[in-house]
Amino acid sequence: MTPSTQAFWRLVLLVAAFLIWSLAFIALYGVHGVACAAGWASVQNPWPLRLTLIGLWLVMTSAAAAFALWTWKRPIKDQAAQGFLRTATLAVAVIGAVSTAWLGAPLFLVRVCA
Amino acid sequence: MTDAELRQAPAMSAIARHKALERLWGTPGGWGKLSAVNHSTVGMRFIITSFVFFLIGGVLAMLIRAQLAGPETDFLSAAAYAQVFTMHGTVMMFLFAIPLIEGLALYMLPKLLGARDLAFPRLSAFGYWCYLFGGSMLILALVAGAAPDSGWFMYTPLSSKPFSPGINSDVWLVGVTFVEVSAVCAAVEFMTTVLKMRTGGMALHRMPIMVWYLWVTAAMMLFGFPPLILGSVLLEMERAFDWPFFDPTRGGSPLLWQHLFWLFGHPEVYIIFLPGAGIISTILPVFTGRKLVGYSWIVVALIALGFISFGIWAHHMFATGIPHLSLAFFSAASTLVVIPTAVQIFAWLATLLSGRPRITLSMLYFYGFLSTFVIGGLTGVMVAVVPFDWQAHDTHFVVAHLHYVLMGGFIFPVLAAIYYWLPHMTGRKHLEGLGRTAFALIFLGFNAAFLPMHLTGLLGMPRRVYTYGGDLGWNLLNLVSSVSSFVLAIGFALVVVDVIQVARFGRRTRRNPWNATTLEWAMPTPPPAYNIGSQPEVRDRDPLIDDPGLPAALARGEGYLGEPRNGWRETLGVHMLTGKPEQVVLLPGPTFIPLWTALATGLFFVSFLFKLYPISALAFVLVVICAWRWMWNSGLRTDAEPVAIGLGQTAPLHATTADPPTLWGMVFTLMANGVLFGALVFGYLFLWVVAPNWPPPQLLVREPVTPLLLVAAAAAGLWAVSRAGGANARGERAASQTALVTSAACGLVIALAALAVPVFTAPSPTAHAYGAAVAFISGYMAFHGLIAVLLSAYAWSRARGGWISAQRRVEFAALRLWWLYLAAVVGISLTLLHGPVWFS
Repeated sequence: MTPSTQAFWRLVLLVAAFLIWSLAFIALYGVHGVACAAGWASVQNPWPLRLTLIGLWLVMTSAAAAFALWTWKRPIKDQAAQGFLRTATLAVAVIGAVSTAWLGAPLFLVRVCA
Repeated sequence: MTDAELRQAPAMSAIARHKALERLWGTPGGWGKLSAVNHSTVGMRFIITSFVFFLIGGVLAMLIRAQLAGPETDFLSAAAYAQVFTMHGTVMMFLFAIPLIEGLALYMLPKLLGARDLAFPRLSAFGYWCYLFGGSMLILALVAGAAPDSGWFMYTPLSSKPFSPGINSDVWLVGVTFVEVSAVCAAVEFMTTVLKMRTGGMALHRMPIMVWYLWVTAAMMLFGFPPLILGSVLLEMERAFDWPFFDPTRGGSPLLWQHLFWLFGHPEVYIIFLPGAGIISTILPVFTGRKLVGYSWIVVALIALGFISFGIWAHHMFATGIPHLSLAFFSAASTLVVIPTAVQIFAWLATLLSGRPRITLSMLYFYGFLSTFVIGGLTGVMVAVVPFDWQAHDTHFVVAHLHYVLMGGFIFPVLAAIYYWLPHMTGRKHLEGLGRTAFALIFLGFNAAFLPMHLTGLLGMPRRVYTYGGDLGWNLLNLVSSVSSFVLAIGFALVVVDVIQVARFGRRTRRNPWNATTLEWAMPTPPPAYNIGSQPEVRDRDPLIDDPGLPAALARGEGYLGEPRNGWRETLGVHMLTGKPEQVVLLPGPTFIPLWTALATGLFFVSFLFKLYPISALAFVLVVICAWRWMWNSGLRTDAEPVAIGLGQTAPLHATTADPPTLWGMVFTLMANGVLFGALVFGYLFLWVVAPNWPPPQLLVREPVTPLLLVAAAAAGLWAVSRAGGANARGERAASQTALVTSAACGLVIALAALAVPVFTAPSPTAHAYGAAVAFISGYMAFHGLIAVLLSAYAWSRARGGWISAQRRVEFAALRLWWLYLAAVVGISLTLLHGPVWFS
């Protein structure tokens, strides 16, 4: 791996928390859409789907939180750019985790497949 | 040689350096102007052209308001009104806002980065010609009375053939796609430039905040435009060949168009807003005399905005019958997006409060921006709430909201930018009087025009209706809006007059009249073609505070690349994170090839529009020839040792390194391509899951030969490319070239096998959307196989021509990336197409 490729992946790490958020968004929206269209759930029998979605959301939120924790624990590099990157990555990670958690709020408030 | 020695003994005087660099970087006169690739020239062309389109869009707005000034007006017919409001939106969004951002970034980005040009100057020029030709197609159609008339977002089925049988919708689909080519080119260019083409020492945390804004904007363009390009192509395929992607009677869905459009359309709002916000974050510290508060937090907020803005596309579709929980996900994301926006607003307020604001014209526009945008943002929160949106949907409330956001978030900052950078661009300074009058007219005219529209909307006045009855209570509000909109127009006219008179007759000003701190002000004004006599080693985010003598030192050549040599156009390539100089990038000079390529591309689009398909095929061949010729002259024919770059350092030429900018250009091109393919996969699955009349009456024929052939060819092609690269590295030229021939053969097999799918094993593409989707996905595979053939043949020719060696090997890296992508496309496509067949 060239230094440039390493640097590129370091930049990917900067936005990784929101990649998890994007994955969570697509998964929740997609599973709900497919399940409703395929008739796997209905307004009358919502709980299997609701619990599946809540499980999915918990997995994604846990992944985002774990990433934030990992970012927090990473050793500090002394270069200024690395210091900035570390701070920014940590901030993005925390905000990404909170955003992923926020995404699940409708699961407890809105009817599925309605 | 040490820094001090270099500073004491420059090899040439500042004047001699200026003349030598101007000769190298300048554009020829006469017809030679059409060969310009310099970022300042091309950027300025973008800016001026976009303002011409803005004026056209403004005239269309005047026509709309004249029609709506009173009830039951006969000024425009319903048909003419439909063309006018469609073109107003289309012109303002696609021909003004986005190209202006591109122009601003083209012009300003290298200057902010302390570089001499962008990564791919010829691509800039090509993008400009695509924009000019595509935009001109739309305006010519308007003049001919055949302009698009289905609304600027072209909803199906209104824009489908049965309801829009004329050429109008085709003009939109073809013209806008042509313009979008330009936007994707710009996005690739900006992404690569910011990553690799900064000046020495400009680590990420030392980049001007405007660069972060433009970088995030470029990333959003890269991922936002492909879904619309795909949607436009699919709709044009439906209109031209009756492939029913959006026809619900044959398994299509009009909602698919809305998804694809708004996958682009909502990020588009932020693509427009972010550069405006970047302008604000740039000028505010200058006019408050205080560093921007919360630089790091703004960067974090930008990253969050960039992602969240993609997760809210369906909030434009709240009234389409999507399940409530799905709507709630989008509503949640829509409320979330407020937070990073608010972070920026509070950072600006904190900067304002802790500094000493000077009330200049730019600052007046800042205050105009702040008040207007906050109002637009708050009504945005209102329509992000589903029940409210159902009440206000498709009314003039939404018209008011979007104009508050776009005028506030984009036009006011752009006007601030004009007055801020006018001394930089022209070397002359404006007088405040005329400008302040224009500001007053614009601010008051805008608010008096659009504030009442909230009320007309809440009173039930729908959008896109050419007239209304006189007994509905909307008369006075509409009259006020119309009169005020003309006041607004007069304000804009005054700005035009002001800018022209400053450019022609304004008094000359010193280099940095605002005492700004970023590198564009270290350049002479107006800036020369080469930007900067030598590139600095920056140690601070505000280099002009850190070293006030920097401009003079750079003009004396006391930085990087201060000594012109060999007729090279040189600029630094740096490490992405630290800004440490890593390579010398040699850029191409003026050439007509971007113009020829754009003309060939234009011929393709125009012939397609008029259904002259043999000419389209010919035009495609011409595009390939132009592209081949374009790439051929890049690189070096001999290996080279590292060269001196000044400040006692050396660096290799970019063509001899493992990761020249070209490679990153390929990476970002493939990313945009991947988004397009992802949108295609989404569309296929969406139709399968949601559209009526599925599953289709007939699936693919179950046969193992084609899929096995495709998998084998993809694997063999990938192996051949790896082998070609390895053999080249070992100096085994013959083996390398043989492997390249194998790679080309594998690409050909993929192209032919993919084409065989719709011809021999799939149902008709006109019978059902399934057949159309299979044909399209197969065509996508075939097209990429064909490109693999061309790229392999190109690398083979280069190897035989002596352009490739163990040191100069970027062709192999780029080809390998393409093959990796192609193999992934083949794998995913086969899973999608054959999975249902084998498991049904």
